[in-house]
Amino acid sequence: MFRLFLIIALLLPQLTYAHGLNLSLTDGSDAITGDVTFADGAPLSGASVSLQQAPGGSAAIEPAVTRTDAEGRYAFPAPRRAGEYRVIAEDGLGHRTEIVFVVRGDHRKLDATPTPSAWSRWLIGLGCLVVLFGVTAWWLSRRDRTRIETS
Amino acid sequence: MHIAEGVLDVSTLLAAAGCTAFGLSIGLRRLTPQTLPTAALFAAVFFVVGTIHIPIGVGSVHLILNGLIGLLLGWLAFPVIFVALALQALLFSFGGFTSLGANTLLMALPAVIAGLSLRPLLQEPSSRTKLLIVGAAAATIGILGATLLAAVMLWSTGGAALSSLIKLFVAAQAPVWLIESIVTALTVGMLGRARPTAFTLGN
Repeated sequence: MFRLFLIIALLLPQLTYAHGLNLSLTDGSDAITGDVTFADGAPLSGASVSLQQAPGGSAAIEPAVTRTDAEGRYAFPAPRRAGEYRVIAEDGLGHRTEIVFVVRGDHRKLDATPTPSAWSRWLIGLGCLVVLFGVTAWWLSRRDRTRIETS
Repeated sequence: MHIAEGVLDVSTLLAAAGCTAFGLSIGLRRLTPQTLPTAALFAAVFFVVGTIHIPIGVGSVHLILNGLIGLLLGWLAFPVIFVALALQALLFSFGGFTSLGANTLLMALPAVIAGLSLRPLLQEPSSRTKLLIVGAAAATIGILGATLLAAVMLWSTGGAALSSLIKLFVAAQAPVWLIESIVTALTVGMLGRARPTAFTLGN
C-alpha cells in the first residue's frame, strides 16, 4: 500500500502558483524534495524553503529551513510523525507560496486540493475590480443625482 | 516590492497604516465619475503587472508603475494601489494583510509625490523630449521613493539586523527602475501628445 502511494506521489508532483512562483513537492521514501521556479520555468535559486507544522496540525516538529540550490531544488528528511505539514517557499522580497501535505501512519499523502492557476487568479482579481468599481460608479452617480435633486 | 507579513514590528505597521488611512481619505474624496474609469483601469494594470515576473536582477522582480499612476491619478494613487495590493495579497500571497498599510504607503506615497511635483510641468503643451524626461523622472521618484521607504521601515524595525534584506531590496529595484523609466517615459510621451488633459485627474 505504501509503495502504491509512493508511486502515485512520484507520478503526480503537485504545483502551486503564486506571484509567478511555482513550488513543486515530490514525496520520496526518505525525503521530501521539490523545486521552486518562476512561472516561466526559470529556477529560483537561494529561496528560503521551510518545512513546518500546518496551523492547527498535530505534528509536533521543529520547523526546518533550507535554501534552494542553483537549479531551484530543495530537500528535507521525510517527516515520520503523523500530522499535517506545509512547505513554504519565500524569495525574501515579500513573495511566498506554500503547499500542504499529510502524513498518516506509515505513509504520506500529498494534499489533493487543487490550487487555482495564475490565469484564473488574474481573472478573479480583475472580476473583483470590475465589481468594486462598478458598484462605486453606481454609488457616485446616485449620490450626484441626489445632490442635484435636493438643490 | 512587497514587505512580507511578520517582518515589520507592530509600531511601524501601525504608523504606516495610519499614514495610509490619511492618504486613502484624501484619495477617496477625489473619486468622481470622471476619475473613476482611469482609477479602475490602473488598479487593474497595477494588479496584473505586479504578478508578472521579469527574469533579470536579484530575486523576483516585477514592475510597479507607481510613478505613472502618480502622474495620472495624483492622490487617487492611494485607493488604487490599496485595492490592487489587497487583491494581490488575497490571490497571490503578495505581502499580506497585516503589512497592507505599509506596502500601500511605500508604493503610493512616492506616486503622489511624483504626481504633485511633476504634474505642473505637464499643464501646458510640451515637447516630446520634455514628456519623456518627465516620465523617466516620475518613474525614478516612484522607484527610489518606494525603495527608500521600504529601507526606512525595515531599518526602524530591525536596524542593522535587517541590513542584508535592505541591500537585497535595493539591488532588486535597480533593473526595475531602468525598465520603469523606459515604460513610463514612452507612455507619458504618447499620452502627453494625444491627451494632455490626462494629467489633471485627481487634482
